[in-house]
Amino acid sequence: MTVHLENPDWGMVLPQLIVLVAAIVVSLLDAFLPKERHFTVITGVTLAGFGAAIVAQLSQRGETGTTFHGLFQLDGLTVFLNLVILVAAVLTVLISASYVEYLDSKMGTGEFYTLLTFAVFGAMLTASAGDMVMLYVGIELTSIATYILTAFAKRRTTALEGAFKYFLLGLFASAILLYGMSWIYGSTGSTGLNEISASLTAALTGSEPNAGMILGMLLVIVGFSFKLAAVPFHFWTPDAYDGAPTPVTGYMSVIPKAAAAVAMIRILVQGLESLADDWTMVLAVLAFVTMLFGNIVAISQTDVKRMLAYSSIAHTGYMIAGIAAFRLIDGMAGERSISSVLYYLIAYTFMNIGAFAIVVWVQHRGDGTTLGDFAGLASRSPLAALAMTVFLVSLMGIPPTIGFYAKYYVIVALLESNLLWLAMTIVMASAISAYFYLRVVAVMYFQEKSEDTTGRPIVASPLLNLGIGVMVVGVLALGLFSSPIINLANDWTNLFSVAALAMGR
Amino acid sequence: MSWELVFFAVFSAAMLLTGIGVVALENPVHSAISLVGCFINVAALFVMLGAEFLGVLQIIIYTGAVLVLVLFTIMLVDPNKLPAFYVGKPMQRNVSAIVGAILMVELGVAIVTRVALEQIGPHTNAMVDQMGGNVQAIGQVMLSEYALAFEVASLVLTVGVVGAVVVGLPNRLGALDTVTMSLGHSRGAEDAIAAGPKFESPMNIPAERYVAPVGERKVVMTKDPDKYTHPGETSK
Amino acid sequence: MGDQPIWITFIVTFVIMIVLLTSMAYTTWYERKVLARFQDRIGPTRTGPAGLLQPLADAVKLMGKEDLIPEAADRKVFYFAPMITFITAILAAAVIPWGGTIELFGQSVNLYPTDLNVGALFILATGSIGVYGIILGGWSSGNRYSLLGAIRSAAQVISYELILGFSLVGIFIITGTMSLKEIMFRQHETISFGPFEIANWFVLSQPLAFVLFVIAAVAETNRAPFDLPEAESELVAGFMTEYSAMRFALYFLGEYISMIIMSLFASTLFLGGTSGPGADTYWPLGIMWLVLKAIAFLFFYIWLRATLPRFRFDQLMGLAWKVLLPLAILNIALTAFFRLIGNGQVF
Repeated sequence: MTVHLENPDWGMVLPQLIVLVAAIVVSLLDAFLPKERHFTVITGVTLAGFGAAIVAQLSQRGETGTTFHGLFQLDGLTVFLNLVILVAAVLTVLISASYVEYLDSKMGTGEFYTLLTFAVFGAMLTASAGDMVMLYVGIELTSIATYILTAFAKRRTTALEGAFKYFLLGLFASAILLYGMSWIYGSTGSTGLNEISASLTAALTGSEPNAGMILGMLLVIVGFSFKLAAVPFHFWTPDAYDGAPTPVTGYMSVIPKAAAAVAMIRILVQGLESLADDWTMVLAVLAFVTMLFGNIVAISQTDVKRMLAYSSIAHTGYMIAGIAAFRLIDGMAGERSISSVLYYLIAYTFMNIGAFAIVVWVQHRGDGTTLGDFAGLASRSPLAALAMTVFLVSLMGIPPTIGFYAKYYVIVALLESNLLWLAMTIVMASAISAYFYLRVVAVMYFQEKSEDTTGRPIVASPLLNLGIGVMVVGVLALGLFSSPIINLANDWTNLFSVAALAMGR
Repeated sequence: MSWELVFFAVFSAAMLLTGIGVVALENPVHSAISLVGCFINVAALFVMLGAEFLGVLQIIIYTGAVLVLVLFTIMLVDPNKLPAFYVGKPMQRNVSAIVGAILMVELGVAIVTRVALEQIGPHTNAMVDQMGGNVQAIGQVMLSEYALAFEVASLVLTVGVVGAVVVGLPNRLGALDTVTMSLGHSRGAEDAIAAGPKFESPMNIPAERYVAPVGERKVVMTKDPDKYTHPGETSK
Repeated sequence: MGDQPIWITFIVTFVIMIVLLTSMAYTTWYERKVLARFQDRIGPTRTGPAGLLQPLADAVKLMGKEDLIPEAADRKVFYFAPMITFITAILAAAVIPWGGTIELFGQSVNLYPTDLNVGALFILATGSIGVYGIILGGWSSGNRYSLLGAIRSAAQVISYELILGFSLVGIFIITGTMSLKEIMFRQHETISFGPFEIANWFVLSQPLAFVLFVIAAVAETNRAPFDLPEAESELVAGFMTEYSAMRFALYFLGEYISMIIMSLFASTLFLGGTSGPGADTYWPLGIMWLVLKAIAFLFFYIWLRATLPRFRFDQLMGLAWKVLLPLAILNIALTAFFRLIGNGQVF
């Protein structure tokens, strides 16, 4: 018999294709390029690839559709998330440029960018997956590349330790995730998200959900919580974040997290919307624990990098709280819930990568990452201290930075869903976080450095400075002009709902 | 029918026994051999279910490649240096038994209820025959319905290979500071020679035989064994 | 399809087993004779006419020897490792077709033990289990040379099995089946080549795959110049250093059976199997053609052994991964491309 192959709509997958081609080109260039022009060309190609993908992605604004037998779907969520991921990728390249250039004499630059590009490709596929199989494969692609990037400084044992913990727990999480997916598949008979949704809605009219569906849902949530580093599934996070090269830490606190968050939204909101009453409660509790734990433990950290690791756990909590706001009140879903999470992701991208960028900056001037190394930064390099202050203030959530607006929208979404206690927790957690964020600011401005490190070699790349500048501007400007973005997110999530409606939900 | 039952009983009993052997045997190589037996019996069950293609792939991929590499690794480890197998905290073992039992019951319930409700998947025997055999059926599902996931899975493997190279290779310009032996070395592991700029070649040590420190020995597949075997020569 | 009572299958299997075991013994004689001619000697002559009873004498000698087991050996594994090699080698014969369905004494008889629809893969699968005999034998001997031989063998067989499998994909694409019987009968058809009608042997449409297959088959059976696992100049006798008597013989014979199976397999896949003048009318002629092709292959094996020096291990791996594998993938891509053109799906 002849096999009928559907001719896929290549235009729809254009941004992903560009990133994939960039990954392959980078790996080939690495093999065949002469040593002298290595770094410049490869960095340039990577940036160009991401830039072209951003342009292609922007041109898809407002379009919807599916291709590859429904494995790939294009809707508002896809476009928005892919843009976030690509912007984060560009920022990662900017902040890792000096690190990679420094490494270039010792190790592979090509491998670094190849792995980064593949990870971005996987994250983009996750954002545009219309099927659980695709979600899983996309997440795995991102995760595996991230494990390796974590171990990139393989001569340092902490890097190997962190990577190994991350690797083992990540595998464990993948297994749980897959087990949960197989339960969902078993109870609904399909892997396609829209089919799952239709089948669940049909099965749930007038009857309670059966144990298999609930079990699948819980297992999927547990699996994603591992990938998102939500408490109590966060044990790998401090070591992995601490052990990885700092630019990689900045990257892995954003892109894999964004991929996991969007995968969670895809499965829970698009696939299991009928079970929203159940999973919003689970997520609310998870968010509560995560916010409090992350912030409280961060207080006792004396290492800035480790402190930022715990802070990123706390921020996971805020994002999960945003998803938890998707609660059905009188049969209506929390309209603003998903758009608030999307906005939070943008904010988080700029401020978190920014904070790590300053740590990179300090490290490349010969200092370490402890609080003592940040002492007196303001007198040595006032601009860096100022930028760090902006990022930290934004992470804390003080107006007029983007962090404030992000939290504001999440709180509004929570209030609309009658989750007052969770909203109160966010406010309380932010208050706690002020202590350790402001401590860094205080140390930078009011303490003198005990040790003189001026003689240490300086690694510097203009790209790093450029990246920090872009992020400072982003943190300030995107906060002030937040309403267009949130409207865009709203529109796009509405589009996503419309697309799902058209698929027969 | 009765013959099928007999064969099924034989294969599944062998599968269970070897499966128990994997966890119960103390020598890791024996465990691995047990796993080989287990996989072969799984393949036999696949064939009995009419899924010859899956059965053969099970043997070629899992038995023929994955487990060979597992054995490859285990064989190079001195079993006496492994941490003792049964000294873990008893709680861990109890919990694992409970979790295992729960998993088994879960899967059993899931399968039994499905069969009872007669909710079987779309790929029945009749359907597979209509597609022209199970090779064609699997090919069609993988390369049309799940084509994208199938291709991306190969990218996952590519990334894995790149990662193995990144983590496994010595630094490009850094000195090779591990004691190295070559699989192409004619005299085998006994005379594996410390090489690289740091060490003097043991060939130049006349009186006592050079023995590489045990803790530092590593097996390195090397492109050019001559680099490690020529007396008195340093690499490059 | 040719359904037949199960006792006929048993008889066919039995006959094939007998023939296979006998021919295995005589392959050793054949090798000695041919090798002797290459080296300007005459080979065994004392035992029987032209040394024809030599295999028998060898068997008696090997059975009479002491079965030594080293002190450091892992006894159980040491015992059964040779059997794995031997049994899996014989098992592969189950899917080799010796013809179609014939009428004999009023019964319809299938000239093949079974027609598995993944027959070609089945032979690869038996080969991949067979490597355990070598690995476990090498490990359980408790001898470093044996272990090195085993490790080499593991790496070698995994690498070359890949190429063996990939070289078949072209044929699968052309025929759309993995059943050896159907692949063979597709080659009984003729194609017109200018004014001539020639047999549609796949060696004509898949020459590259044929070359790759032959190279990989030699490596897969651990024969010279790829006999690294037992390289006597480096490793004494590799994985079988510690084996003696019948256990040694089992390895030895397993290797010869693998050679025979690979020859039959190659003839079936690429040289039309039983196809030849008169084969479609008289089935014994078909069997004769198949045997002749297999003997030609065996001659080729021995020729290689007499001519080529052994590869170094890194050269061996380099050849597999850097030369043969890309060629195999190229072959698949080209075949698929031409198949698409044939289907009219490209232009």
